[in-house]
Amino acid sequence: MAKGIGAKVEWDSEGHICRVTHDVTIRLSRKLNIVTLSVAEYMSLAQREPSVASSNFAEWLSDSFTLDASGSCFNGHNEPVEMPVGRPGWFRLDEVDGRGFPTNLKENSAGDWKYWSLNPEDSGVRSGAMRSFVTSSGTCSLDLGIPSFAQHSMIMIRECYQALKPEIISPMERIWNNYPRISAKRDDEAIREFLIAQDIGNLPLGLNSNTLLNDKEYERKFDIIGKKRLVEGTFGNLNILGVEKLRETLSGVPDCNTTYVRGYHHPDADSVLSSVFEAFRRNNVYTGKLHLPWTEAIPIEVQHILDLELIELLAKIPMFKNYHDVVLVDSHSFDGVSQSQVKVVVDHHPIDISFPSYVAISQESS
Amino acid sequence: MIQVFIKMLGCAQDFDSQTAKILTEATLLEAEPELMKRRPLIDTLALNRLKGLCQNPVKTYGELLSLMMGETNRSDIFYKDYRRTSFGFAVIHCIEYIDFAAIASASDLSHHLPLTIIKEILATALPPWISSERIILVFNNAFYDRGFRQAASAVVLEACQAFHSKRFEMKDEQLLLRGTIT
Repeated sequence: MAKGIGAKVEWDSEGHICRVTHDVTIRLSRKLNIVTLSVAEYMSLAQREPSVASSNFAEWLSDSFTLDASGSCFNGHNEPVEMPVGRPGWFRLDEVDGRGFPTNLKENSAGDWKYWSLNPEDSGVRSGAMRSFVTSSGTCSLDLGIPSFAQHSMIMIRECYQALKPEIISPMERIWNNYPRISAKRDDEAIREFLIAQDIGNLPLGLNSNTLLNDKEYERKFDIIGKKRLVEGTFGNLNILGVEKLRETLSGVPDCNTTYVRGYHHPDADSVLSSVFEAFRRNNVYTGKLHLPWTEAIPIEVQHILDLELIELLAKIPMFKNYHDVVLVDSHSFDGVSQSQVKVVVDHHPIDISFPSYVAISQESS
Repeated sequence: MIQVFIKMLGCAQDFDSQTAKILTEATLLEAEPELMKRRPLIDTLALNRLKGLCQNPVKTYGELLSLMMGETNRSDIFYKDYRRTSFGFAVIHCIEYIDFAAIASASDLSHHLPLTIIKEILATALPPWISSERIILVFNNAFYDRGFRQAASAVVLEACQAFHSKRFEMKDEQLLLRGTIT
């Protein structure tokens, strides 16, 4: 579709089209039958729903403006526009006129939105209106003077709906979302009761058309069932794994379909051995695919915990390439892995970055 | 490590004695004895399960610590248990206090961090295995302060005192624990 309008587009790991100019955004949106909001429409929406302010992206609005050499401003239809001047200025959401322009610009004050009019030095340059975000104030900005040819990874085309979609939560997701709330109270009896009450075995799982989403559901299931076994003390019918199996995991020969499990930069014993055992676990669950641990270094204490033969096998495993899927354990920082490679995160440290929705995240502070 | 073991149980996987010993020792090494008393229910149950699977005696925390002390490279020691988020945080077990300020400063500068917190834990050969702790805040002078140093120091002190009562005190951006940790 982009080719049809002579444009080349990129998208981020969540599938949002990004690095788009104002012109491409308008034309592509028309083709896709997507509404691009005008300044007036966007400001009206923001007044009703201030939560549209997002720190995750910037988005072109449909209006464009140009200053002529005398400083007069014209819109995309070549009609003169009286625009308030602020480079920058700050305004309150309830002080906006019918065109979406601020009526009372002030110097910086907490909680206000930021406003930029056109740059007088850019006369003759067509500018697009953009809604963006100001990290320092945690509020949105309305910027009318972004050159229309500007491209940036954070400038995206986002979906716009007439109304919020009803939230559909699967039974597994409901359990998964409830557990941290129960766990955070540190009430052991409440945790026991909650886990024992879950009938995970009979939940319909794996119904997504996307394999990654299915795997994410299964990972959640394994996590909850493991906890349930612990509180119930039921350890019957388990498959006993030993060092022989571990040796098999570490002896795997990688190919382009191998998934690597890695810890963090400068790994400690926990990081290294978590990688080893997570790869081990995954090889025994997802049997059609090889999972290999990889570690940047083997700390001295690991050499006393793991057999020498296993250490040697681990040390021989070649580093992953940029086409391998990666599972992060004991860490959630990329450290040389691109975000699109990461499919699973298992970490006991608080996670302070967002991952695409298909990434299966197990985070529980210990 | 515990999280991985829980998932294993959820996949109907369990360990023989030898493999359980590896996991148990790695888990014991991860947590200081004082932290072990405060572990959440699930972690405690998982560790008990692992210990129960080990037929052979596992290394004590002190023995595991002494293995870690074999490291001599100062940079390797600093980065052994180091995290970088919006600040740096290094947890170091050592036999005597070592000055890591230069390494922390260099890390602050190269990663544009406002601060690195160094927690040094003095280990002993006998129980309770840890004799004292000190926490040093290494600030990046390239950052405009605007009250950050004072606020960061106050937060860290508050956290330490919440954990160890009033035995922690601040002196020159350095927090020292008075008395022996039990």
